[in-house]
Amino acid sequence: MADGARRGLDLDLWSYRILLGLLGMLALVIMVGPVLIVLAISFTADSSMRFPPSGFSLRWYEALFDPVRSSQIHRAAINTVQVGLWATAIGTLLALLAALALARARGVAARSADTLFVTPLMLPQISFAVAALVFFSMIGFEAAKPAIVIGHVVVCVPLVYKTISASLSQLDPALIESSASLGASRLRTFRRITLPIILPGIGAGAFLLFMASKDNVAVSLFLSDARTNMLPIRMWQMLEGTLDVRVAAVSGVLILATLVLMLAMERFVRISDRLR
Amino acid sequence: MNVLHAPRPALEGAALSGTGHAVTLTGITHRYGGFVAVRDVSLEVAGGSLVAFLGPSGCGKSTLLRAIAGFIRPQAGSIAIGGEVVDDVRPNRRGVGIVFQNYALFPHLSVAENVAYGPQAQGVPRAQVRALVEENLRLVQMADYAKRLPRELSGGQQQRVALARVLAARPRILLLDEPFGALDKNLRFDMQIEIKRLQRELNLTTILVTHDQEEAMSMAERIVVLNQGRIEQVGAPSDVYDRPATLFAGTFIGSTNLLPARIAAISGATTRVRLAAGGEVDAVAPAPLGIGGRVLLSVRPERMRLVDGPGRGRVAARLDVSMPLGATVVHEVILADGLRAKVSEPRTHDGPAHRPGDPVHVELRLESGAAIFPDGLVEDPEQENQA
Ligand SMILES: Nc1ncnc2c1ncn2[C@@H]1O[C@H](COP(=O)(O)OP(=O)(O)OP(=O)(O)O)[C@@H](O)[C@H]1O
Ligand SMILES: [Mg+2]
Repeated sequence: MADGARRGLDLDLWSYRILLGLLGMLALVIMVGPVLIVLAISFTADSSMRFPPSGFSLRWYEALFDPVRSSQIHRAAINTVQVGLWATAIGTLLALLAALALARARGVAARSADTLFVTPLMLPQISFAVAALVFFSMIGFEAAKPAIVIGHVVVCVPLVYKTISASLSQLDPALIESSASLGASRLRTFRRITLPIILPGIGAGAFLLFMASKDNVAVSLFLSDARTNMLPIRMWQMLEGTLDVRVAAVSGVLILATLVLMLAMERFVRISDRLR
Repeated sequence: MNVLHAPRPALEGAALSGTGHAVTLTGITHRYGGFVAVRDVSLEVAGGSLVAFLGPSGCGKSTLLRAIAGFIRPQAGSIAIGGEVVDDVRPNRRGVGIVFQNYALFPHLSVAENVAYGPQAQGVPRAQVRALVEENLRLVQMADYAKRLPRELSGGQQQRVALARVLAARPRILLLDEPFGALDKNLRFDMQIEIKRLQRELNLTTILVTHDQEEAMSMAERIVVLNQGRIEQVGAPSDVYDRPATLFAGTFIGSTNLLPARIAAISGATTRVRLAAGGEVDAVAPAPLGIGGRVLLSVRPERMRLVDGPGRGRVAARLDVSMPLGATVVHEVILADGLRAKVSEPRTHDGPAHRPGDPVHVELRLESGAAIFPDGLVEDPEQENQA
């Protein structure tokens, strides 16, 4: 009898596992499938984005890396990287300062500032983009690239702010207190204790910010001008006009770059993990 | 081996050295929000002494330590170290070393780096930092682990590193917040002896927070009994044990029997009480009490023994159970009024003199071992009538 009950239980367990496995696989297919398809298309020999491709070639990558034929894409890519780096640097610094200031604060003002820092995550980006466009032209701020950087900082800062404040909240206050009672000044405590311990959190947040900036369409679309095209928007224009297969090649490069960055991040985080 | 423990030469460059500083708390009150965690605490910790803060969980022990270390600023009162008021002095300038219950070792620094942290922060020259690290790691027998990270150590090893770290910073005052929690009994005993010895040698004023009364009794020169943010009693361990100032101090430290009684007569310092279970005994009353008042007589188990016949200071009872506990035997007896009491006697080789169920008499030996407290739980109808 006990045996029967046990078998029943196992059956339950197995059906649960099978269901979970199927759902997991479905999610995997939905997430990874499009990536594989676009990769396959990028190696096509055809001159259209047909799937499945009829032959293998590197012609679209050659076209993409040709400095003459793809100069506009290159400029957009450089813009994107530049904006991404600036936004990452500024956004991470701001988020770090804000998280440090608000980490242990309990007051109403501090709580509302905390909420304020994460609202861009929930507000429609497109509304912010419109508002920013109106605002910048109102005050006569003409430079497109700095404007985009500012816009990206605003919409992406919650990602870093959250990761940094999460690692700060896991920092044992007794470590800070020990450091002080051993004679260390606040600055020294920050440099030798706080910063090294939250560094993986800062790194992860900065990575997320860069990735989000690189992909951002809404803000870039509204704030860029003819000379400062951004990569995602350029890609959209290429598709819209000519169904240009180079878009698939750009996607391939982006996927590869992301993978490399992710592996680097993993290493970085793990190394600092080991340093803890 | 003893060379290690010789008094250390004064280090130039070490900002903090010299020991034997007194700690003076005057009227300390601290609230968290509306909750009063520490209430008007005044205390003088003599320079070079080891004082234990003893009290139940949540009574404000850590809060007091945090105030002394400078991590919190009490709403009222003042703290002086070595006669100098430190209320406005930052924690890193107070020269107060603290060992936390969870040790709080820096997780990303090696054992040696942890120990070097304090001297480095104080600007001690590099060669001396190295010497301090070696000396203190050897002191706690952790020299072989210098390169390890804290998470690669056992709880006891981490505790020893925490101690080395705090000593390397050469504090004026040492605060220990329940530092022996993670240790097994033997290691705990070793560390207790070690800390006691170091503290004596360095003449280092030390405050030990604990809720282990045996630890407080064995290590401290004075015990501060705390309850609900207030000091209940300050005294030498034997004082606190034998002459508890309050009912709380009497029951929290050691185990004790509380026997209901009434005051029969008062002559000078001694008060004669009549036990509800029958019999009269003389005891010490910490607070003045009126004749006829209801009281609780607190008698330690080892201040009673089982005897055969009735007599002065003896109470009739029935033996319920006897339990051998190491070198002693604990008897549980039922007194005439139905209350249970514990009696602890040295174990003899003759075998038990009484068997469970036997009628016995309990002799109360109250030379220094009993105190009476007003029985606040029960209103006294007689006193009401008198009023
Ligand atoms: N940061 C805080 N905010 C609010 N209340 C607190 C805070 N820290 C402590 N308290 C409260 O103050 C009281 C005293 O706390 P404290 O930490 O001093 O107790 P303790 O005597 O050290 O207890 P334990 O033996 O459990 O460590 C407790 O009731 C606790 O709940
Ligand atoms: Mg505590």
